Parts: sequence; C-alpha cells; structure tokens
Amino acid sequence: MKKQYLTRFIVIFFLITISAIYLVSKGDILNVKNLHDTDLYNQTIPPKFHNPKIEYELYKLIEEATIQKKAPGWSFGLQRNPITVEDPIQIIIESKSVFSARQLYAGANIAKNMVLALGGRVETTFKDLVQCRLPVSTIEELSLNDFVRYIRLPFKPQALEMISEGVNKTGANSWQNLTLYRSDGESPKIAILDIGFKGYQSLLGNELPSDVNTKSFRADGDIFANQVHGTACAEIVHDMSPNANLWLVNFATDVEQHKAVDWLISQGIQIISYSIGWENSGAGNGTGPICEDVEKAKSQGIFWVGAAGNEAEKHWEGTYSDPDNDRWHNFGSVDEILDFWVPAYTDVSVFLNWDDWGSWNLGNYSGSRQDYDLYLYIWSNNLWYLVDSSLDWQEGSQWPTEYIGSWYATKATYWGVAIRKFNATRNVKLELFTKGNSAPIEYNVPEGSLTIPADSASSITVGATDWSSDTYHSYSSRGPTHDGRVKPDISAPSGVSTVSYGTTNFYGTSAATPHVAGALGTIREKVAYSYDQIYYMLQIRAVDLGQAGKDNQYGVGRLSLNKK
Amino acid sequence: MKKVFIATLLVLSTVTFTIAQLRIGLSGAYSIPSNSNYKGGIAVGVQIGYIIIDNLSVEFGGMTYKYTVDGSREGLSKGSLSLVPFEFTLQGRLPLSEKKIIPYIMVGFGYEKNKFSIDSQVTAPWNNAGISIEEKVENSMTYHTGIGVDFFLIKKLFANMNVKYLMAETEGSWRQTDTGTGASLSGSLNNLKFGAILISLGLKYSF
Repeated sequence: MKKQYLTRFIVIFFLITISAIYLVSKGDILNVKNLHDTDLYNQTIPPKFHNPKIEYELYKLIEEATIQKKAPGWSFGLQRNPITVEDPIQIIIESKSVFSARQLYAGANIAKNMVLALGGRVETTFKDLVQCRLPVSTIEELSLNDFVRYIRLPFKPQALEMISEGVNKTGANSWQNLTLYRSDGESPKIAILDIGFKGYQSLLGNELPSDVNTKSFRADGDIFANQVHGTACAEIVHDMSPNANLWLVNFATDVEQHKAVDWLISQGIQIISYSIGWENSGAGNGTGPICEDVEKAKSQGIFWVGAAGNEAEKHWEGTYSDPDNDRWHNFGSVDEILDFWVPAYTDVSVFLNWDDWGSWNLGNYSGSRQDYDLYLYIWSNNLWYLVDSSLDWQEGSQWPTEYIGSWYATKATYWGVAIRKFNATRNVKLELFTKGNSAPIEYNVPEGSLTIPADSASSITVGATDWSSDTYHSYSSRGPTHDGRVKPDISAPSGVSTVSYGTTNFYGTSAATPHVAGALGTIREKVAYSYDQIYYMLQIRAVDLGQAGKDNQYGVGRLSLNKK
Repeated sequence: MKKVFIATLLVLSTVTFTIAQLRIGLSGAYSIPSNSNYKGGIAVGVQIGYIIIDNLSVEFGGMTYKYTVDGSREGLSKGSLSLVPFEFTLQGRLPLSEKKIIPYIMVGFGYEKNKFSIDSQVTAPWNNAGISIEEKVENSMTYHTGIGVDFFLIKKLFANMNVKYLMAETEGSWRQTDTGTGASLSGSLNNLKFGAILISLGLKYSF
C-alpha cells in the first residue's frame, strides 16, 4: 500500500515538475499576457491579449469605440489627432495570397465580399490588399475569416516638410537656354507624386505650366487634400524644367500609391518626383511594398527621384541592451527613456522597428518572432507618465514594427519613449523615429535615418543642402541603408522660395528632390541620352562636398548641371 | 645613225605636236547651290587640257569653293562647307570663225573632298554646358555637264566662259558627346546634296 502511494506521489510529482518547467519556460508571456505589469515608475502597463491578426493601433481604436477604453494619455487632457473613432474606419486587409485557377488574388475577392456583407465599402484593391471602410464593431468579426491574414490601418505617407533659387545655383538656367540640337525637344513627362496640391489652379500659367494633368487616387478623389506640399514641389520642377509636361497625382495610403504608380507607368511618365517618406513600411534594405513601387518604375525606364527624409534629428538606432535585466532597453547606462522636446500644438508619433523582418517574397516579409513593445511617456510635474503603448504581436507572421500615433501636444514639454522586450531570443538592432520634436532627440543617431523608400537601390535619393551656402542641413536624413549601401545619391538646394509657401521658405529634402527631378527633365529634353548616361552625367557634374567621393550625407555632391 | 636621226626628228615633231595641243588655265567661278539652305560664293580653280582633235578635248581640273550653310535639323547645321572637286571633263568642241571662237559642250565626273566646320554659335553654348558637337561629311563622287565657249584673245591666250551643273551627293554624321562622361549620341546625315550651278570665267594658255 505504501508502495502504491509512493508510486502515485512520484507520478504526480513528476507531472507537477514537468508542468512547472513548462510554465517557467513560458513565464515571460504568461506573466505579461495574463497579469497587469508595471513599468519603471510602477505605473500599470496594459496587458497584451489582443487579437494578433489586428494591428495594435487599430485594436486600440476598436477598444475606444466599443468599450470606451482609452489610453492613459487621455487622462492628462491629451488628445489623439487626427484619429477618430467615427464609423466607418478606413483599414487595409492583407488577404492570404490564394490563387484560384480562375482568379488571381482570390483571397482578396473573398475579403471584399466579406466587407460588403459586414456593411462596409471597398475603396480600392491592389493585389492581395483591400482598402475599405468598415464599421469598427465588425473588424473583430472580419478577422475571423481564414482568408484574412492581417488587418491594419493604412500606412500613411509623410510629406517631408518644407523649402527656387536652385535654378541658378545648379546651372539649370544655362541648360534651359540651349538651342535644341537634332532633337524634337520632346517635353519631358514629369509626375509629382504627392499627398496634395492645394492651390495649384491659381498658379497655372505662371508658377506652373498653363495646363497640367491631375489625378487623385484618394478614395475621396480630392486632389487638393488641403495640402500645398505637392504644389510647392511642382513649382520647383517647373522652375527647373519649364517645358516639362506635369502630372500632379496624389494618394493617401499605401494601396492608393501602388495603383498610382501603375497608372503613371501606363501614362508613359519619364520622371517621378517623390517628396514623400514612410516609416515602418520596409526593412530599410531596399525591400518592402513601397520600394517595390520604385523598382517597378525603374524597370520601365522611369527616373524615380525620392527624398532622403528629414529625420536625421528624429532618429535613434542601437542594439537592445538590458544590463539590469528588467526587460526595458537601456538607452544610456542607466537611462531607460529616450526623451525629446515637443513644442505646443504639435502632433506626436513614434515608430519602432527592428532587424527581424525575414525575407521579402511575394509581396510580404516572412515575419518576426522577436517581440518588442513600445511605450510613450510625457513629462509632467517632474514625473514621466505613460501616455500610450504599442503592443503588436510578433509571433512569426507579423512585421517587426510598433507604432504610436498621433497624439496632439497641448503644451510644450518633453516626451519619452521606452522599449520593452516582450518575448525574444536575441537582442535585436532597434530603430526609432519620432515625429513632433523641435530639436534633436536624446541619443540622436543621424546615421541610417533614411525614410522608406529612400533606401531603394532604384531610387535616386536626394539629400538637402542650403541653397546659398551648400552646407548640409542637419535634419536631412543620411545613410547608410540597413544593408550598408551609401545613400543619399545626390544632394540639392533647399530653403528656396515658392509662392505656395509664401514668406516661409521651402526647406527639406522635399524641396531638394524636385530640383533633381526637374534637372533630369531639362537634360532629357535637350539630349536624348539613355537613363544610365543621364544619371552618370548627373553624378559626374555634382559638386563634391563633404568627404571626397560619394558619402552618406551629400551622396556624390550637390546637384550641378555645369560642366566640370 | 641616219635611222637614229630620223627617229629623233619624228619623236620631236610628235612632242612638238603634242605640246601644241596642251593648255593650262586659271578660272574663277560663282557657285549657286541647288540646296536653298546653302549659300554659294566664289570658287577658284586650275585646269590642264589636251585637245585630241579639233572637235574633242579632255580636261583635268581642280577647284575650291565654300558654301555657307544655314542649317537644318535633317541636314548639316549652321556652318561652313568646303568643297574641292577634282574633275575629268570631256569636251565636244565646234570651232568657228577660223577657230577664234570655240563653243563646246562638256560632260564629266570627279571626286570631291568635302569638309564641314560647324558654326561656333551652335557649339559654344553646348561646349559651355560640357557637351561637344561634331559634324562630318564624307567625300563624294561628282558628275557634271555644261556648255562653254573659248575666245582667242591673242595667239596663244584665250578666255573661257562656261556654265555647268555639278551633281554631288554624299552622307555625313553627327555626334553629341558629354565631355565629362563620354556619353554620346550620334546619327547619320543622309542624302546630303552639294549640287550647284557654277558660272566660270577663265584664262587659258595654249602651248
């Protein structure tokens, strides 16, 4: 009898031990998944239990709309702007790439029907992506469909802030005056692919050609989109290449951009001026859906001239480090919060990604299994307060990204960012971008601050120099790319005058980019050299600045059409 | 010895006879190009001729003249075209008034050395922009026909006037090169017609 008890005891003890080992091994997840945890300041951080097929930023909107649950930041009187919880909400459905014998992207079609059945409206599609508006309350239900791989908010393009005295500076004026030699002087077709062209009509015939082509790929068809950014870029292109035919094309999401690029190719466009940047939409090594658009255009012989970005002072990158083993990344030896100063009445966002994208294949990354989370703080009353968090899952299929946005700063103060390892087997290389800071962020790393798709090998990536002094603007994003290539490719003047921005000069790589696009247009109009020959001319003629040769600030140098 | 003497006399008399049929001359001409893009000008030349019989002679000659080219997209650009034809001409002669006036018709062919210099007004702005422009023309065969008349002024000196139509067609090429990178564009210039009407006046000396 005693022996029987002893055997039972041994078996039960064995089972308990095995269970305990298992639970300990999974303890990281269980601990956070089921229990509320605290941060560095003993504030409760939200648990991570949401649907992994739904992006966390979207999930928070669903929570706000359905159970009135709000991020901690609301309690400080902060507001999120411009995100609203009004129905229906614009989302992107990444459907599974199922190809039936009869139909390509059958998964997308199934998702479209599902959207309609749930009372939503499909705005546009591109391959296996479906852009639609759907009542918030139905998104969870949609995610249950097997053909739905992931649901997220649309990637939003960032207009790369403002800055043309550049015409004389670059010698474009002497090219413009050249009498044509043995060519028809076919006007180059240049597209300005941007987010909005407010006020363009009033500039026709003076600051812009008397006739331009316009097309909006926005779901609402609004070519103006209350943004003068594209109009100012078009002004500079026209200044640099006065005989060019201009296409003003706008979009608001990643899906709309894919369609816009396809359309521009069909229109025989020769040059695309692209003063737009994205975060968290690619691995920074020239891959990803946005970079794929650039490659597609280049493969058709189109010059894709893209801005490097204005993020050099908003960028940090480094390898995850946790010497005190509390899961929170140490930016400094004991500092676990990276802070940045935000003036009042400014939108604040933060983007985090790390080097675990996997391989890019058939329009998607294989995904990450290294799970890190992102936390946003505000400095108030001499304390850091948690404003919001981003807790996306990285279980193998999701991208290694976290995003918090867009909060509206009602007063000038410091904001902070913390990064926490949730479940990871290695210390990844992290990359952080902020929006809203008026001075360089703490621990600022300007190197590698390129936005997407400035990292594309097919993009002629442009950095910004001061038009009068040729100094490199401190905010101008610089290389290298994450796979070690030198970027930008060239620099161009910024800080120039435009009618669109009135008394405020147009600064940034946004202003520099159309100078290069226009210069290419003028060369192409005057000499019918090949893509490679014209690009080589541009490289040879650039005024080498900074380090001798091509470098990660100026590229090959400042744009010049003057002979050497 | 006698035979040698007789033979020498025969040869000398033949030579004397031959030299007597030779003449050399200088001429000036005004050229009127058939291509309206070209503007003609004064031409000068030398000729050496040989009268085979009274009604037939041959002549070898060379001239040099220039066209000013206005320039066109299909043809040569604005510039200066030098033409130096070397010609062989057969003349059918009709001596009149005791051989004092000899009208003739002529037909012939030749080989023309051509050279084109593009105007600096065209090239200078491009050169300033770092792009060189070159245009070349090939040499060409020429064919001509015309009429003329010789007037004897004094015993061995006569004046000559003729009008001839010269046909010449050739090809050319152009090249536009970026001096920094060596990138270049090039093309052919086809059917370049250098034909002209040449109105000549000259003096010839007959041995």
